[in-house]
Amino acid sequence: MNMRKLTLEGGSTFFPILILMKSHKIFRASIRCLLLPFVIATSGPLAAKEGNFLEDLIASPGPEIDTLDEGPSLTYSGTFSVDGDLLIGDEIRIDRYSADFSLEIEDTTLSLGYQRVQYDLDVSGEGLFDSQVSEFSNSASFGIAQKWSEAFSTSLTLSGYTGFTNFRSIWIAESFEQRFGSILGFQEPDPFGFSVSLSNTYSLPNEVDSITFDLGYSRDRISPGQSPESLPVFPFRGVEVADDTLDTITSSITGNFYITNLITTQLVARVNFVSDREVRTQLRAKAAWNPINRLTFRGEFGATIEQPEFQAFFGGLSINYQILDQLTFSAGYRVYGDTGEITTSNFNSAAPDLDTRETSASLLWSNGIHSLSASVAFFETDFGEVSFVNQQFADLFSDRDFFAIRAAYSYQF
Amino acid sequence: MRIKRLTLTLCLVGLGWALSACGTRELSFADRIQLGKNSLQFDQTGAQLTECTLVTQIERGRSSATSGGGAG
Repeated sequence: MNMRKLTLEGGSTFFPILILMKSHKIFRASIRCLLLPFVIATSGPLAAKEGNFLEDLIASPGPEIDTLDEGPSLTYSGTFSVDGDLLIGDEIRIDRYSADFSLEIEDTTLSLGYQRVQYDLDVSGEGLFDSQVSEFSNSASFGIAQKWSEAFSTSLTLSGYTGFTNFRSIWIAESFEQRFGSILGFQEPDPFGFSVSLSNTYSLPNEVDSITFDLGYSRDRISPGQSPESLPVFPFRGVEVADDTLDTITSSITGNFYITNLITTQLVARVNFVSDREVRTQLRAKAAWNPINRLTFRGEFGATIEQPEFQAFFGGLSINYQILDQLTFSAGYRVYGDTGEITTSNFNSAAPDLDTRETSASLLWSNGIHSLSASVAFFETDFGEVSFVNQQFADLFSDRDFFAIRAAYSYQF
Repeated sequence: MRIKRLTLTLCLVGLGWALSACGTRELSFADRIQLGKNSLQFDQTGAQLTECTLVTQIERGRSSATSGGGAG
């Protein structure tokens, strides 16, 4: 990553601030982050200079600069990315747009992210009239990371969202609204959520291998399951609404290790604790092998298990070939299978068992500063038999072929 | 099932331990450049990530997130 130097002249003016900077590393890093925009925008006694200080000093015909007055030197780099995703299948279209910005100032990194997802569905099903539904969700995140030493760094991320986070929830919510919308007790869904996560990374002595420990908490207000009130009266008098709040604690360990200078691996073990559910465990392994200079093979496999009956297995292989110095082509194939979602009381919307296959191809152009990529994928889904209680969602859980496309641009400075 | 999971976890921890023990090996400058290649990395973001991410809308067991925003 390109690093640039930003030199403050007239540092003596900020002597009290310098004392504070030296007093504590976190405080010092925070002040530098806050000062940066001000420094860039200011001219005169407090001027920002980019590039090598010595080169500037030699080239400059201006007044002599007293090196004793040289202020603190800030090293910074950053990335700005935008990307768009599209997923199209029968009756379903999803558009996703996101923008991310990160700024690394010496040992501190700040990051901001925003994402918007648009859902357009043609909802149908047993006992439902066909309807077109459009929904969207917005989410944002803020992160700060601090490198304490060459071997240890910490990051804190806060994020939040409003709106539905997947098309299935929208479909089910529309179904509930059509069935129970005019009945006493019906609850209009208003999903939102937030999360906080803390991550610690330890670099091993070779400075390439690392181990990361993550711990997170999230609260989601979901679109609740709704069903006719179970009273011995016919017709029913109201709607019974399931709990609409989920608390989740996530923890994971991620290890990045190289085997030789041609093979790297990543191992992930993740454990999630979700309110009113059993512990969900996920194990995942990835490997990349670069046998000759321009060619890399990549592989992944993993499994997720949740008691009493959910199991998912997935894996994939891909090949990367560097066609030109700045152009890389990738192609991949992935498979996924699960045993169907767990049916809990009052939920009759759990998906049956699912198998999927994905074939993808992509092109990446990068000159080190600007990067541009485009990807396409064909995605087949194959659902199992829908159970008797799930008949109303047979259209939702029907086999579909999806087409996905993604384009992204990144700028590094 | 519990024994299976325990065995799998122990294997993974053992593998991780063995690999981390390798973390003390010396690396040359050329090796560091080789290992820094984008194709040998796993946590790409932005344009360096070349996967269509929306498939996680369907594969609930693959995604690392929880069931946020879901009705079931």
